[in-house]
Amino acid sequence: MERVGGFFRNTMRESGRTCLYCTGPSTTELCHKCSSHRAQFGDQLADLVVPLTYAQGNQPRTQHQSAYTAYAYKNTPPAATCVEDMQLMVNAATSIHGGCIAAVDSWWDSITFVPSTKRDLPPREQPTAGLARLVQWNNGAEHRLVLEKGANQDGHPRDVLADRFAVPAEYVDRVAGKHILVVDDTWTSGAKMQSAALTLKAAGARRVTALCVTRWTKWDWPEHEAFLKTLTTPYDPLNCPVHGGLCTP
Amino acid sequence: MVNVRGWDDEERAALVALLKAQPERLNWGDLTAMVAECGSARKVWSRYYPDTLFGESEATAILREAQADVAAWTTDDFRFLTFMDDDYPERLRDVRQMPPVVFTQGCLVRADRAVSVVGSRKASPEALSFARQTATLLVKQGLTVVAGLAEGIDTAAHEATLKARGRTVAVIGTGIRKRYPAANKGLHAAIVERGGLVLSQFWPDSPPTKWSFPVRNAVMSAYGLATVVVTAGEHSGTRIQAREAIAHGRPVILSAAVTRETQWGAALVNQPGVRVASTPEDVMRHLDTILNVNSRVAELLASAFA
Repeated sequence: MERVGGFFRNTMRESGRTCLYCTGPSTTELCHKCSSHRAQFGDQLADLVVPLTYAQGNQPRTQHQSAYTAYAYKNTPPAATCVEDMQLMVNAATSIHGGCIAAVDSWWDSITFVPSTKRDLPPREQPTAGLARLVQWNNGAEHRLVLEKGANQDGHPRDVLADRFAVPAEYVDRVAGKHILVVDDTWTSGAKMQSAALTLKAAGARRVTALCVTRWTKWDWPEHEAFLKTLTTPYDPLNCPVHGGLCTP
Repeated sequence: MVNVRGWDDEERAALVALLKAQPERLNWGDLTAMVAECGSARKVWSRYYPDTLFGESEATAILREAQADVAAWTTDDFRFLTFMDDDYPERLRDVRQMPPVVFTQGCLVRADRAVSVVGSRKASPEALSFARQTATLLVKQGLTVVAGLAEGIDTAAHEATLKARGRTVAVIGTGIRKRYPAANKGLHAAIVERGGLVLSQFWPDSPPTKWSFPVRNAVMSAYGLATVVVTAGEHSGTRIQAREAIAHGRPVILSAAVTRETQWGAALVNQPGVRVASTPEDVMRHLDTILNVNSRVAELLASAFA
């Protein structure tokens, strides 16, 4: 992956350095956000979160390419290489580490993505749908579902809301009792992804795995800055985003 | 002219005005990201200057001047393009240093397959010959040769390309109305006349400055599929292009001389996307691999379940 090695770094789960759940910089086992979500929603949240790389936001002086790529892949007119890089990340990571996700519990039965709340694009034209399309396994038409807008569109973007999204009636069978893989580009507080998880669990999902290309971080937060400064090794697609070891394709 | 995204000269002028006014001291990158997300520079402008439609203020003057500039630029002997325009060189959109506006003379080519050949202004005869041979081989492969219109390696790369009847692009460190260095006035004209392109990310009358060349180097790297560094000193500007290319994910091919003669060159050898070439033929072998990887990635992504 020499294409992204210059600006992407592997995520890690390391007690005392990162949140063991979302991989964000944290000196406690669960970061502040994740522990408050856990206290409030317990097992209705995503069971496993798999962020692939860090997006380094708010870098002093110039923007970091990782943050640019995570944003610009959604731009109109498109930044073609950014789109390719984001899609390639999803494809390579699921090809190599799909089995690692399966080993934790089971293979996913269904795939969906976190819908855009800002723009009214038809589902298949949304940038995140383009990422979900690149998941390597169990991704035929019969495994796919889309979430629609729920009743609550007024909540704060950082609130976890079970009714931000909804499962359309036609897809209920692909959710009830199933393991769902939910794809998104970026995990910041996890609010949108966790809202989707609550919706799916409420519709009977047995298990939810969250796959995010980037875990957003901020150079202007001292705790993040200290962590980001230690990240020097280029992204290695063999490095496992699930258990941290090296996997072979 | 209105493009498919509904951008007309009013939108273009609002973008120019935003870049000149820099509300809340926001930098160009932040302003551009805001306009990209919103889709309209006019909307972003009125967010910061809600009263300029009627009131007389400094902001009104900036907007008026921008409107006059944009009108004048459309009849000048160059083109003015914003990142929202269809003819904007699309690969520049890939990088964090995407220039929000560019000025061009000559021929814009969509999906231009281009490689930068860069190096010092003061170069040895061996290095100049390396640059000429590399440019000639690139032309044979149907690739465009990009350089910065400076003396030395840049001039050698541009001239060898023209001699081989290839296409060459100059990404310059001044405004499009300037001729710098003066000695390359004729080369500038020849590039434009012979199917090439001169591209500037600066306001048309901008003089050369210390900071303009490094930021230009990042854009040059972005324009191409890869950068070939022929020769460079320990503190040369070429070093910046190599560093920026790696940081935004474009491949770099260093000549073996650069890795021997500079500490930074030696240090880059194991960085992602960096390759070392002893000869111009080596450069072409590396490029072959890079282009192959690119097309395999495109095929892989296209073959995904629709």
